[in-house]
Amino acid sequence: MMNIFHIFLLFCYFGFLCFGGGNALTPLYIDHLVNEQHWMTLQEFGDLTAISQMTPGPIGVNAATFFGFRRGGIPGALMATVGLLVPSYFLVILALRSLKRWEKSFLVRGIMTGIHPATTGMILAALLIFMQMSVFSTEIPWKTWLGIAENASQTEFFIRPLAVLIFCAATALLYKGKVSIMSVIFGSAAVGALGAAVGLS
Amino acid sequence: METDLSKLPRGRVLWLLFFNFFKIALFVVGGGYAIILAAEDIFIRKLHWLRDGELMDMLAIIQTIPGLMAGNAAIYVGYRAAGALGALVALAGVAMPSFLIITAVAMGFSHLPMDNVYVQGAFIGVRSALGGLVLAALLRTWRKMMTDWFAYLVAFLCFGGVIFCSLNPAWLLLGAMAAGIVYLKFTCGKIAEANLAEGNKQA
Repeated sequence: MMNIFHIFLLFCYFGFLCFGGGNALTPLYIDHLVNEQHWMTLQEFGDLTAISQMTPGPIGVNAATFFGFRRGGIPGALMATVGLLVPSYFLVILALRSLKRWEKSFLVRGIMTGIHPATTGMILAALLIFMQMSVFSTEIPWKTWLGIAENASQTEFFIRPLAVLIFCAATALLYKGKVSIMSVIFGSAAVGALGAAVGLS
Repeated sequence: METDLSKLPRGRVLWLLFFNFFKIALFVVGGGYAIILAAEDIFIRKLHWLRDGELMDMLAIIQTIPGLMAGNAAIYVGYRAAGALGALVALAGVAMPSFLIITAVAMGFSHLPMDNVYVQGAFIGVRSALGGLVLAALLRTWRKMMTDWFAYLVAFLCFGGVIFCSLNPAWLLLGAMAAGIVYLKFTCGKIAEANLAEGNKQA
């Protein structure tokens, strides 16, 4: 019982501290779960990250569920997941309720002036990261191109023609807003699998 | 058309919140932004439950509050559509697929067929499409977000900070907030001065 409660509190703490989305969780997890609590080894953590990236769902929830299960079975998994999400539940609702009141204040307007373009920059970065997992075979080797790479990259960089086609078609369809996101996702999954079947990629 | 929302029975609204967030979490692979934009596509552009153009407020709040972006997106949309209970239901929907799948994997019930050629092809297809989703959203919001040199500077620094320096987005956002306040203070002062000068001229 104590164990389950401990899991809940620990993940609440993680939920409070992960500023800037789930990626901020990785260093927190390594610090607390691997180095301090010894709940798992770094090797196991690496495996878990790989599993989380390949399975659907937010990576942070995947990891919390996995850790919780390791420590306390299904109740542990549940407590870890709930604990991770509880802080933001209250914080987002609080923000939504108070934002209306402070919308016109100088401080909030200043924060928004900075956050809006910052968001554009972050989304641009997310776009590049997505393309490096689909349209491009690997990360763009800009260091090699600039001649400042410390060691030659392991995987060859090339562009996947079918992926480019899907990318452009999806952009056009979703920009117009005529086709729903789910149809686009299923359509591209089918095209991608078919392409693999006939040897295109 | 928020009238549609008020006409729908409450149970139906809650079910749609749960079901759509469940679908999003299950099929949208690859991280927070894709999930936020998929939610925008469904709840703003298709169902019109939130204000048109609310995406920017949504992004700002989701990013500044600590927590997973997918979770924060579910809470935001759920609360705006159906209050605290709506937020809870949407959150349950977004967490449920991970919970079920990872528990099954951890118990050893399911083996993920990840080295299968067709599965990999499908994954590449879906990621390409989600790249398109992100680009489409950028194109739509670009003009509203990028209004002057300050906006371009901040966007460029954030992009570079993430891609080239692997900085934690939280620090970049914090820096952007501070810069926004300073910039507004500076330009507000200028505008006030200009107004004053204008007033003196007229007098």
